[in-house]
Amino acid sequence: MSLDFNVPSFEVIRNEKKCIQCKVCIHQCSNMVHVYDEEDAVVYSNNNKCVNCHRCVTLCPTEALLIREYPLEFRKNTNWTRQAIKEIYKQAQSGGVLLSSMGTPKTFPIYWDKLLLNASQVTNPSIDPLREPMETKIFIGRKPNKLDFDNEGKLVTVMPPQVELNVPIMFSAMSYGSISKNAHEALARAATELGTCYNTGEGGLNKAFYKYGKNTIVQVASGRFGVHKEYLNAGVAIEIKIGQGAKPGIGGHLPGKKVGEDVSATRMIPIGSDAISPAPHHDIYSIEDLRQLIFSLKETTRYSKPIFVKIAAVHNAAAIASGIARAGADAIVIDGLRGGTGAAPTRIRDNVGIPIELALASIDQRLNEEGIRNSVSLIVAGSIRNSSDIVKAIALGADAVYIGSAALIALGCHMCHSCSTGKCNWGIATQEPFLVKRLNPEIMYKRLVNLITAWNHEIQEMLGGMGINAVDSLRGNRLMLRGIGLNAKELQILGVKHAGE
Amino acid sequence: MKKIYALEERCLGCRLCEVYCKTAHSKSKNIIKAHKEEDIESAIFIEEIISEKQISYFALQCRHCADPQCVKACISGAMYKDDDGIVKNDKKKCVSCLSCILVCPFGAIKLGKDGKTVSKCDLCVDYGKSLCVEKCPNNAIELLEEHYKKEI
Amino acid sequence: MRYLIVGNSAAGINAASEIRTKDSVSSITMISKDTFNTYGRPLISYYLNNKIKPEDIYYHNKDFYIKHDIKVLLNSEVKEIDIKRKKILFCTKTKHNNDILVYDKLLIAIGSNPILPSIAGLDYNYTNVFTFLSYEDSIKLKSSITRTSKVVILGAGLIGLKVAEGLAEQVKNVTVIDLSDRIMSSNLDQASANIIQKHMENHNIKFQLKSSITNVNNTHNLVTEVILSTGDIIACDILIIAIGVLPNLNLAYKAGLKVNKGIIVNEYLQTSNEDIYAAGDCVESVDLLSNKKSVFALWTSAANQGKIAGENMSQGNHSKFLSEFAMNAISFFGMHILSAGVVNTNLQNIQSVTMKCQSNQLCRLNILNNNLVGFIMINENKRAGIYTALIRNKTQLSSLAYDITNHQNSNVGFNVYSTTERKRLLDLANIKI
Repeated sequence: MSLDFNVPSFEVIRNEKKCIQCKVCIHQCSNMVHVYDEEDAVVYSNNNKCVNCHRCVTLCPTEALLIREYPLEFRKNTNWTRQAIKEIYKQAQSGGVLLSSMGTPKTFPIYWDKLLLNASQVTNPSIDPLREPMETKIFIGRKPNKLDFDNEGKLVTVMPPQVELNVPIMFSAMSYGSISKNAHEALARAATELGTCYNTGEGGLNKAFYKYGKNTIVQVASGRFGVHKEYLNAGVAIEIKIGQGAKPGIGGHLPGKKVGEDVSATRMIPIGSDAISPAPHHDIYSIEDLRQLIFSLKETTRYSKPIFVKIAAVHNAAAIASGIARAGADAIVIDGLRGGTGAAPTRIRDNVGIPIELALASIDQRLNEEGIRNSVSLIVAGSIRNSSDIVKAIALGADAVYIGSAALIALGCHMCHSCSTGKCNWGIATQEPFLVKRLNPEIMYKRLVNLITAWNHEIQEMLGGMGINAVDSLRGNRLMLRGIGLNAKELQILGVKHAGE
Repeated sequence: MKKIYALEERCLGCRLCEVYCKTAHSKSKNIIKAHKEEDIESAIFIEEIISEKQISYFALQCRHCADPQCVKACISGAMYKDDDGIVKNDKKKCVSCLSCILVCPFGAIKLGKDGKTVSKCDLCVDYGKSLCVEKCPNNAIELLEEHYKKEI
Repeated sequence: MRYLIVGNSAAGINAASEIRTKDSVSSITMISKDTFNTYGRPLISYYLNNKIKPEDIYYHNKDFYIKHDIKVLLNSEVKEIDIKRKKILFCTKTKHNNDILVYDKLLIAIGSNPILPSIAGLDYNYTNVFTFLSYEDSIKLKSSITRTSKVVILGAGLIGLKVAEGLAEQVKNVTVIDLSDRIMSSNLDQASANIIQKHMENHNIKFQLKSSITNVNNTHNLVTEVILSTGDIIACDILIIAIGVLPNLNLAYKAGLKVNKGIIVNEYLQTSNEDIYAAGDCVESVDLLSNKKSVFALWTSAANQGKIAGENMSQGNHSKFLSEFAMNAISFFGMHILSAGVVNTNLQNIQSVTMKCQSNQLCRLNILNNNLVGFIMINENKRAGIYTALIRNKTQLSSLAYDITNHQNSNVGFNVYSTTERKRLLDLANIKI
């Protein structure tokens, strides 16, 4: 083999004074970075193989390990960066499409950080959520244009199906296959305990998880893996996945090596076969076709479950959302440019789509203008990092948010962007039994519960500060937002005033 | 009495339990010194289970048997079951004849690195807490009340 | 209830402890002709070469007897058991008069005596002729040796070799004589015996195998030379007789209890008299491997029997002692030898597997009809306890998750068992048998 020109991305630094040669790092690294040399009684590290997942650093009992960016300098050039050069080396060697995992690392504007929240001072009182009621419960689904009551004040309008959530936060679609069964179990159990939902992703639903049905959203994607009547009726809602923020316009590919016995049974495909989701749904070439699928799913579930349609945030998102609402969807999920993925072509991930904040603002605006905002719920996804992102999203018009990456980080993900290798050292994005074991659902579901509980407290605090006592009352209330350092066009799209105005 | 139970389905085989066992039984109680300056045999050991499908692991340590063979085999009276039911080895009395190793049906006793005494799990009673249990990253080792079976 | 225990070694002391855990009020008396409280009998050779301090030889410290309210009469030899009146007649060395003790339950645990062959010219009253079975023997021997002593040991069994080891660094020369073609013939096969013999020869011990002492020359009531069957004459100023032991049956026989090779007991270790139990080296038990009756002189077995006898004496017969097999853990000059069960590989149908080891190690497994029946390990102890359990439980080797004879699996320990079997065995640990 000829020289591949590549230099390591990371350097493992071992403090020999602290290293006790316990070999924990060796046993833990699925990339075989660490090697014990019997002769010299020393542990060496192969920098080339390191993906900087921090597993060894975290488990090293003596804190003897440190990983940093490989200090080799390329000649300074803002155009030909280290990354740009390395990518060319790689493609010149492989001849293949560059693949990446998780959300884009590029420096696109993060509008959440350019929006500021309001708080009550003097003219209206703020609310202390520890002393006064504060509602974070929401309902996802179509809301009627008006409510009719009988003489006794009882509701006579038949309500369309709703999904009741104790918190405006759900776990976004991550398939069994792309993440491990233990990760799924942690998400499912956490959703159950929190009174919210997790999403099966496009990999079907393992029989073992049917018991979490009341907190499950089942997905129907272009590959239709694991889709059957029982599956469609197993959850509380069905989500049609048209697109994903990290890879708008393209399909998915689960490599055959991740399709083991269990994944195979769940997806209803042969063991070891690649699971390829086509770019489009081959039965959806128009809004009318989408309507047909929505109504077939409603028929199958006897109109008892709301149907979500998930799209990537793209240029014409507002018009598309309007179409989806009119096609009969009960909720629209919009996944932004910075959303995560198990694997996506790098160029697509880093260059296709628009930021979620702008898409959300324009969709909410458009649906309001058309008078159909009440006919759908809006769920946003793609880079929600904390509770203030959620509060801002709700103020921009969202009903709820999906979190993916944040949930995985709670499960131990250290954002090494190597999901596609299938060797996730944290037991998340892998199907290797010895790695999956590392994610103990018993421990991990509690971490998810902790995270969402903490965020919910924070949401209540922020709402209370604004003098608002229910999430529902904040939705689309852009007066609670001010832009900072944004230009007039951005402010106009976001529908917010600049700070100081 | 409470005993250490290792849960095979959770064990990662990381061997941190071995590291902390050595630390808890060292003179210095300092993890680095325990390994670099003292030479101690761990009283808990990870065993690999290699099957066709996968490799899994199993942490083994003294079971503190109700009727301990090792105590009966001990020629010097060093091995004893204390009033709490913990099987202990009095290092001062141990002559490392290996009689206990010969009869332990679990293979849970090892000859110490110095060759002068044997080492086995004492539930860290002298240390104050079972360090392997506390430090297991995946809750695979638990200190649980013994499920006493009916005596035959 | 009055419990009386004759003998204060492994069986006796374990019986006393066990009785006390079951019965906190009754009186327990141990009576022994020994001068010392219970000590680790195998430790007498450790005392000989100063590997342990005199105070560390004791099995329990003095507080034990006070704490458990166990009365001990030392230097007292039991002369007679009157099974009709349930009393014993004993004589205390210091008092020189006979005394009587009554019992409700009696345990005979008086072990064995050294075999003393008659050899022309040898009188066992000579002060330079020794046996090596008790702490007193060891003390006597230790005080008799000098740097220039020329020691001859008759018998290359466990005892003979332990004495040889104990003396090697303290005297001028040590010669071990045995009739057999190899040392420790009942514990080792030829190959392993050779390894150990060589190791001991490197430590200044000479061997004269396939020979015996035909007669000894003496002057002034001291042995001066031994003459071997080979015709060799060896200068000798310390002669140690260690050709084996025989169960101490006199007391039981005189009392009218049934005896054979040892005292005959049922599975509850009860003798032919229902109030008298017997345990330890003086008892005849079933060999697990041959199913024949034989007498084992094993510390483990004695301790186990003592415990069971104690339990049955205090609780009524419900704990059984079924069978035993030979096993030994012994070391010479830092070389550890573990052996159990059948070691003679020349027996028919035995498949003997030698595991791959480092040059100074040996591990040999003897397999018969899918069962492990014996093993020898030298300088290696991995899985020894598991092998012992496989022999004891007569585990079918084909039922194991790993092939124990496969060298590649040599790092597998308790996991040789399948998952279900492992769980079963782990649960068994909590059960008192």
